[in-house]
Amino acid sequence: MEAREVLKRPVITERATALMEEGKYTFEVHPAATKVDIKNAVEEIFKVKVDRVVTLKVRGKQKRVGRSTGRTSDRKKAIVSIAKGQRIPFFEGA
Amino acid sequence: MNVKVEHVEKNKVCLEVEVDSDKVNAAINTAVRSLSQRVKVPGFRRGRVPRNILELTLGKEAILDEALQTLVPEAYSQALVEQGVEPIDKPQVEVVKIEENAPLVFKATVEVKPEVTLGEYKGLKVTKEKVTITEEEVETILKNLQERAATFVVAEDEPAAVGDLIMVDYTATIDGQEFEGSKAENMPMVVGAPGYYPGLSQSLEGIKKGETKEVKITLPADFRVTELAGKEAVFNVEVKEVHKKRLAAIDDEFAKDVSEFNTLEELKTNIESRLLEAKKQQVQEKMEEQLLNQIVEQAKVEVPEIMIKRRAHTMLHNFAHELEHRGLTLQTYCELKETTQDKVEQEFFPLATKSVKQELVLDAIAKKENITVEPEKVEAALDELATGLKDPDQAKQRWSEDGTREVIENSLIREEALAFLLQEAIVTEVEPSDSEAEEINEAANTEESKAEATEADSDN
Repeated sequence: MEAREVLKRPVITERATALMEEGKYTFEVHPAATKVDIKNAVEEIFKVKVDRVVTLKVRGKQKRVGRSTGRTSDRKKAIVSIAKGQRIPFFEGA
Repeated sequence: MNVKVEHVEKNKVCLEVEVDSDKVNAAINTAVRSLSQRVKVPGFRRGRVPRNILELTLGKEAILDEALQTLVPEAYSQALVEQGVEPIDKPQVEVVKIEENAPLVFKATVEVKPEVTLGEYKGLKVTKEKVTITEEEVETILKNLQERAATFVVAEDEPAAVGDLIMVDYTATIDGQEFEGSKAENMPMVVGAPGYYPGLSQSLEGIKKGETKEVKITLPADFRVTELAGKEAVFNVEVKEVHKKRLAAIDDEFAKDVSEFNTLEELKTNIESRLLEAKKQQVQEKMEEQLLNQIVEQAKVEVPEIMIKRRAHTMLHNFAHELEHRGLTLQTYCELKETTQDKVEQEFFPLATKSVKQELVLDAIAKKENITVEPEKVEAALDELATGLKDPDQAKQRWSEDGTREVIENSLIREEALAFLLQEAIVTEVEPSDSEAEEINEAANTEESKAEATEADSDN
């Protein structure tokens, strides 16, 4: 899988920013991407060394607008630990 | 902090203030904290947004702006105190430089109190009117009291004299036609008093109960209803009741009835002292007026327009209040007088200029003579102002924050300055002129009626 296809967007939440202090960066990724895909993509795009990748799937929620019901789409998140001393400046507004 | 003062124009000052970088950083930190409380960023609870995320969503400028909000006013007011600049308007602030880890530089341009060049203010010449109370003045007040205490007795067979109260029915015609207000039943009327139709009550002198009389009256040219003015009206009057007026004799008994005193002598002394008080007050005010006129005339001061405008505005505001007491609004007043609010405000300008000038000159004198007021006195004045309010303590608290306290302190200082001037002045005594004696009588009279009214209230 192409690197740009794998990583969709950074997850910027309270929890994700807290994790950044431990060198763990959270991404929303392609649902079909494997841990290896993600590792390669992060290393290629951000030029850092990835130690470990943890993935999780987030099920979409039932939402209703008036009478019609719908679903928000399922997502896959990846928490990427990178080598000590390295940073991804993209997350810090650079 | 570093402040440079520069006089740009007449009565205008430019302050260039430099604030230390420590303070700037501290302010930025508090700004971040307060913004993070207020701003909702998705993914974060309120108050938990880290600084870099805030910068991402709001931009760096927003944070610096927020910091300026607290930084500038604080530094500005501190600079004012340090440099002894007394502003009369809000400043125009221009931020020259704001950066993190660097001193903040801003320029504030503001109008200041004008320089007052004082003339001679010691040993001013004033005239003081001698205060004397004559027997007649006391008599007049006693007579008024007597009038007010008069009782009315129903008379069956006595003619009505001037001052008596009669109840009448009447129908009136002009050229055989009735008009509005031409009929009345059981209308009370005081014989000899002016009344609505001038001359009507006068012509009924000597009439008895049950009698009828035809009265011809030429309505005056300035009659209230313009269409009827100058016309001759014929009134058919029937007298229903006659109430004779009984005046009490002026003696100790009378004194007991109308006042809290037991003897006539005591009442007289009281009236005398009250008159004296009123006159003294008047004399005092006149002397102060003379002093103020002289110091203003001798001093050189150019009053900035903004001060005049603001004073005129306050005056207009007070005037509107007064109107409201009389059941009018400023708008209806303007309509009646066929003017606009702005014009009314303009009319206050000369008066406003005068009063601002007086204050400026008094302030300058107070400053030069180091006249101050003890905080206790200010406190006392505030206490007096706060009595009767729902929450006196809270009001006082508010006043010390919104500047009311300073306003009061300043006015007390001016009073002191005026007293000082009077002390230094050369006073010559003169005979009073007649016209004012009358005025004082009037004043004392109304005072009298007030006292009576409150007495009557407490009786109930």
